[in-house]
Amino acid sequence: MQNTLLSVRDLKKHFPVDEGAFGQRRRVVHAVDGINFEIGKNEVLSLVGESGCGKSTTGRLILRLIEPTGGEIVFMGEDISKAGRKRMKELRREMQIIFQDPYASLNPRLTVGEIVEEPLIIHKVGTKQDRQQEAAHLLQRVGLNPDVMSRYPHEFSGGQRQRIGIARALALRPKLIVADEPVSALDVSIQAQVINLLKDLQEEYHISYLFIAHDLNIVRIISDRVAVMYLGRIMELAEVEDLYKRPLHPYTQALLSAIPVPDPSQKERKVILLEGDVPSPINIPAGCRFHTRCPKMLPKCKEVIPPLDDFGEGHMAACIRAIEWA
Amino acid sequence: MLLNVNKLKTYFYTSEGTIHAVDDVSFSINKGTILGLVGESGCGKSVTALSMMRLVPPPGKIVSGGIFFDGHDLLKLDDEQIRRLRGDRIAMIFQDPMTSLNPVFSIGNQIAEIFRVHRGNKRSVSFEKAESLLQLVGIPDPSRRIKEYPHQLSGGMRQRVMIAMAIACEPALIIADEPTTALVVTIQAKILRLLKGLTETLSTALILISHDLGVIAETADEVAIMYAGKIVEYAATKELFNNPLHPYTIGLLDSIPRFGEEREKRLRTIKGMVPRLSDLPSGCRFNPRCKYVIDRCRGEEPELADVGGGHLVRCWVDVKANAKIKGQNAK
Repeated sequence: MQNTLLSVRDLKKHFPVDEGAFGQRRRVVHAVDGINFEIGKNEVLSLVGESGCGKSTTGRLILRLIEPTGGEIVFMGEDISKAGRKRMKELRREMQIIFQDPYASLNPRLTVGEIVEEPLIIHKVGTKQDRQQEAAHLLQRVGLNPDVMSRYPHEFSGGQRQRIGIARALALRPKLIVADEPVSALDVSIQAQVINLLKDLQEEYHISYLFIAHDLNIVRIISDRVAVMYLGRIMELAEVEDLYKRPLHPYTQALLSAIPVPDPSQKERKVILLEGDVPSPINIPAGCRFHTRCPKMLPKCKEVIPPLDDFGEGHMAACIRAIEWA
Repeated sequence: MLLNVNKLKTYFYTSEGTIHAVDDVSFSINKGTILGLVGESGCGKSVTALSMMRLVPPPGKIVSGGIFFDGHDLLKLDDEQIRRLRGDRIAMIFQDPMTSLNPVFSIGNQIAEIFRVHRGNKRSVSFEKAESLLQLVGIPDPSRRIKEYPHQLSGGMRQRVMIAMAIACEPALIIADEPTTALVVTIQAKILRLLKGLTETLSTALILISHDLGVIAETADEVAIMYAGKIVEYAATKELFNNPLHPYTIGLLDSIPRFGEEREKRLRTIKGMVPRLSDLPSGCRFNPRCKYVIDRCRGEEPELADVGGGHLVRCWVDVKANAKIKGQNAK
């Protein structure tokens, strides 16, 4: 890819869990189990999948908020997966995060002005006056009146708090923002406002987003490309419209078919229902990890691990039958 | 008619003043039908549900109105009588199954308890019944699962356990408060099918509380849209989606992305935010966010009026005519 900003290679995160009263049985949760993707400059890549598929863990690994078990994270040409503390601090000027819970992610003892200013103080940007000016400017840009600077987070609604979180993430003008379910805690009418804001800011400040979400309608609006994760692996990755119009993996096909349609006349449309539940990430099924629930399963799927192959124009899918739908 | 809620008012008396969480809400529901209750946080939909169960927590209080269920006025029953109805004739499914299940009892124990309490069944009989219920709600390998504890189950399975508990006594009415909000679409589709199936096989009436208009369109027979403690629009599902008349309903429907040939670049929004219930605007509660607002809306609160065929709307403005005029002006 030209203008690659971030490239993730064979990234893994395994959490050991001890079982038994004395921890005598050591087992491993394969939260992220060898994934590869790239994000270009000014690009929005979304990660979707059910809870526990490893999408949030991936976001945190990229920022090194948790330590990877293996693999490379190449950010602006540099493998940061083993970068030291000092280097990571420098790098965090370029990579920021917006959290899901607007109530838990703002320090209740700081004023809104201080919250937005804090990244600038940590990275010693400008004078005190510059920083306050910048904080006021950012708050205005995300749609808040700058006179909110001296107020505290509890005085704001969820949507307004998320705007404060966005202003804070923007303060250092990062190149990459990991947005981890940024609107799923918000009301429907507020979600649309925040999504539009995120889109505008992305274009204005030339930011790339790793957008983590489970709402497939919102993902379709905001993304350039989408990666579908299942049990710690990417099952399919494609340009957004290509993915929604021509899903090649049976898992993606099932997900898309199940999006509720706000039109009662389509009540009887065909929904692909998946059998069973997501297997435990401790005991990942052999072969294709989706085979236990796959409506299109062949005997071979129990043995062969399908690679993430390219079916043209960067449309990747990890399924031995994908060619049939390509 | 199975349930009739008449002019229900549930207020909370707090130090910041009186909060009109449910303010003059009326609706009714027949056997075997599904009523969708739609609205955003703070609109009063969950407090309406809790009022029907007589579970409003203090400082909340049902101030006035009537809730008539199968011949009983629920507000006149004593605590013992209402307790016998709860879980037996009326059951509730909550949004978060992890906080509504008891972590220290096996799920079998929790389901069996219902049969012991409400039906006086013996232990062995109630466990047998519990196991067949787990089968009914589609939990694989029920004989093993029945011995497990809530933390050993996935979110989707826990929600199905909640449904199993709700339907244990074949209630006449189930109130489901955002039963699928925390679940991925594939599981959501299954749970909704299950609930719908119950209304068909057992003639259960279902009140489905959701903010997701997609879910409502696919499941409900009738829909009530709530805003700031009041019902602002009420109609049969098809009518509501094809002919929405309240500006808030129109705004909600507009903010759902639609994907035709061209991908939309921006989402349409409703400006402003949900008002605080302790600090409501005068007149129509939606007026500060409404794009059709006229002077009258700021001073006078509209009634919920029938515009024909049981389609109720609480709005001073003829939105349809207004849209036409605006369109002409633009040209």
